[in-house]
Amino acid sequence: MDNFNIKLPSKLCYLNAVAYFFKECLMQSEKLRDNPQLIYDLELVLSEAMTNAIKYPLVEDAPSIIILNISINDNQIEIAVTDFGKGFDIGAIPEPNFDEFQEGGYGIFIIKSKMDYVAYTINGKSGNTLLLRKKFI
Amino acid sequence: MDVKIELRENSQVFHISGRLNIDGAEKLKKEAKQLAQEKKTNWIFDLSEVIFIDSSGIGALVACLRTAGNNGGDLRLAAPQSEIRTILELTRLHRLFEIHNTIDEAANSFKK
Repeated sequence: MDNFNIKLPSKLCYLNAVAYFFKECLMQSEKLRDNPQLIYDLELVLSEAMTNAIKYPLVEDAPSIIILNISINDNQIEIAVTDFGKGFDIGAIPEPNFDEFQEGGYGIFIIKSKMDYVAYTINGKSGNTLLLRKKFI
Repeated sequence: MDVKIELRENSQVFHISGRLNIDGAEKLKKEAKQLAQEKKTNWIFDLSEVIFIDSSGIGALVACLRTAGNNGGDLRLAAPQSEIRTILELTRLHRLFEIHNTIDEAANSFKK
């Protein structure tokens, strides 16, 4: 099992740098290397999760950081994104209205579509964590 | 994300390259609004060099389509890579956009 723990400022300008690092890490897996669509999907999910974590307003006096914990083994990847924002009720977020062609509201839908397991917990000053898992076929 | 605009006789081609995420989305919408002010709104977004798009990028495409439409024009997508097409299909936005395999094909569609 390979583990990566990254603490970074809660700023959108670091999205691309993390994405490049993440993609390179995924390329080290033999099962992923030959599956560009799965690599793309995981990169997409991380981008959505990080964008969500960064764009929500912080709780007062909370650290302006996000923490990524990524674990990759031969069969599965687990991604945990922790932020210190106000959080949201993931169960209350509706699916996009596909007849209205919305400009936003696709992020959580995309994450749920691409991952096998999605859970979001709000832990006050300990932060909010979006936990994602995907098995490799 | 980088965008270069090519002015053609009947259309304007946005050659977009790189990663179209929240950062690129704002830049793209700004470029589009600027061109709309000049009343040039027959837009072709050349996506052949876009290597990544997320929901923010998708949202920018929808916003630009609306901007073009509100100014009497339209937006056509050209040459998206397979991963980009997959996202458009997942979000059902392939039903909203006219998607062409090449820029020339998209340009010709404005002449009809």
